[in-house]
Amino acid sequence: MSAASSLDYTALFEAFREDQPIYERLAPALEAKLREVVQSIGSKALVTARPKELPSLLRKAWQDKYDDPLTQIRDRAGGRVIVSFEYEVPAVVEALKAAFEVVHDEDKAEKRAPDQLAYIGYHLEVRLRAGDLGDDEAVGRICEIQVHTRAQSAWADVTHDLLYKSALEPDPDVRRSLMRLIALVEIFDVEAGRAREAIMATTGYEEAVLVAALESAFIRLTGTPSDHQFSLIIVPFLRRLYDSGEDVAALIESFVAARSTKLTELYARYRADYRADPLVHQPESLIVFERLDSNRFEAQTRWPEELDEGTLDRLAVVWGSPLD
Amino acid sequence: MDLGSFVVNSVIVHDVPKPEPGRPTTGPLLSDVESELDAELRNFFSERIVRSLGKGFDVVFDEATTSPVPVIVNLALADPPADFVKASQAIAMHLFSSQSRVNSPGLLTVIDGEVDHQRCLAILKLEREQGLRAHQDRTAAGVTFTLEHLRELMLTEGTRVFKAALFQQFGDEVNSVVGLASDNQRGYLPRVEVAGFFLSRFLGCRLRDAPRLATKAFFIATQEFINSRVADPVLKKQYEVALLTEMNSNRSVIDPGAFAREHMAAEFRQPLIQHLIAEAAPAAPFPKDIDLIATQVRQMVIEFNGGLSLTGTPEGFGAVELRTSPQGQQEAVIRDSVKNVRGK
Repeated sequence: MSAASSLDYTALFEAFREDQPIYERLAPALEAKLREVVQSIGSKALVTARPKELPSLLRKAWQDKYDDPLTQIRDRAGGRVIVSFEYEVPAVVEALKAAFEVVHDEDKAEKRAPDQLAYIGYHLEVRLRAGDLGDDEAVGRICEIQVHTRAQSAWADVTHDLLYKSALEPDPDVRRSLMRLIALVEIFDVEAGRAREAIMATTGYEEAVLVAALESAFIRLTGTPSDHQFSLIIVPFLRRLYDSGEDVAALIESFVAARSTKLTELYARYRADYRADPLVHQPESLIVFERLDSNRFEAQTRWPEELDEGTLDRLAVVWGSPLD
Repeated sequence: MDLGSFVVNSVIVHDVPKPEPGRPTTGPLLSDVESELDAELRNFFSERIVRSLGKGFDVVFDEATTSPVPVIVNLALADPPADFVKASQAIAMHLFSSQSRVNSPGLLTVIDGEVDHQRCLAILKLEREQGLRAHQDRTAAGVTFTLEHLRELMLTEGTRVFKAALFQQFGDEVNSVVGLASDNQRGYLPRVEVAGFFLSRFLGCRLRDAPRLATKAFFIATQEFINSRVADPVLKKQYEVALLTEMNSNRSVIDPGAFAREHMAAEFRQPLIQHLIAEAAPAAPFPKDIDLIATQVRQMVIEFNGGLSLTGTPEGFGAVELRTSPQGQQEAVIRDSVKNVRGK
């Protein structure tokens, strides 16, 4: 007799149900925490979190044949961080490891044999500590956090529904078809990453790299997105405020590090002020503030004629030092 | 004081009219309640303060003053603070009684806020635009300027700030207050940049730095910068002439930023300001007084390594051309005629 068949599912269901409100409360707090973590590294990753549903827990208890499902099924709430490109995964994983107590982590891709198609993604099991989510009842509980690319996430969602939620168990051919899609996921991620690197390395894309750096800093400071197309138009003009050889992204990074408190408070004050200069709501305002802070004379002398001169004047006032 | 960190917490507005000849004085129209604020109005007031006080002068309370403003400000910034509404009403009453018929009517706006994360109190006298009647609204809590009315009155780029002052508490000591003040109605009047009425009679303040000490510190630090940081002798002479001309001009205020921008090459502007800050010399505008350096600014001297020196007025040096020969030697060419030669 298998271990699973000896389980009292009615008792198990009741036991799961008793704890369920805690996990339902915990999931949105986990999502907020994950959002905070990805913002702290300037990532635009999407985050979700949800409690595991009771039927899914019972199915897992049945299929995976636990001796003591209540103790052994630990990931009763799960979160997912979804990045656009594979290169972003290590930074997100590092940030999660720094933010949580990780009890287990696993890069599913590492376990694949070369001749095997299998689920890929990075999984972390974290044990919640006091203060992690601001909920005493969450302390000590385990959550699973998955880090996926968008392609991996799409595959996981679709196959999960087809394999585990369909009315009938799919036959082996169908299962094989779904697994074959993994190859497309791998190809998609590799090619998307290659295309991105090629684009960023192309002459003339220096501004695009700078925009990416500005957007990353802006998200860290404000937690809000900006208009990417507007930045692509404005940044090439503002780039002229610096000498041609200067590493503007590095200058912005150290400026933001030095002035993060002032910048965070300033952007928060202007978030709901639509009377203000539109650039205040855009990451390229960081360039203007950096120039005003380090060399206001150069900012005035080199201000591009294509841009409204009033913008520099208004941003100088926002920064607290009006022009002469 | 980083004005970019200014945060507006509360605002109250009082209407301070001008005494009309032949009419009974009714006094200021006082509000009983703070005005409701949204993000746009908060930022509007912050920006007005930055624009007005970004070029303001450092002030301190004058121990000998009879103005009640220092006491009111100290109480308003104390912990626990005095009642903000009552404090602002007392300031409005004092402004009304200090003004004469030559002073413009205006909206006295008192702001409770923070700058550099320290509590502060700002006092603005705003223009009441022609054609806009300042009427207050009666709410359940009393008379006030409502959000909509404040928008109508003030949220225009043209609204002028006549006068502004900001006082910041630092440390726990009572009276440990520093301030900034500016007076946009005075223009550049010799020696009276902040009207005596506003600075002294109304605010009960005096300038923190004696103008003659500030002027001397700026002169010495700038001259040192020219000699140590500017290698080209032509520019060295040009900047020194500009400095002496500035000192001898009729302008009553020296604005180091404007001096750098008007007279120096781009590469020297920011370094000059940084040098002034490093030398504890004024980098922001200050009233000029050349009493302590009067003899030094009349004449200019160029000393040469061989022991020769040229002395003359800054204007006289217009006849002197410094240049570098093709062989790399520095040359001084004087276009004049020799008057006489004598021993010294």
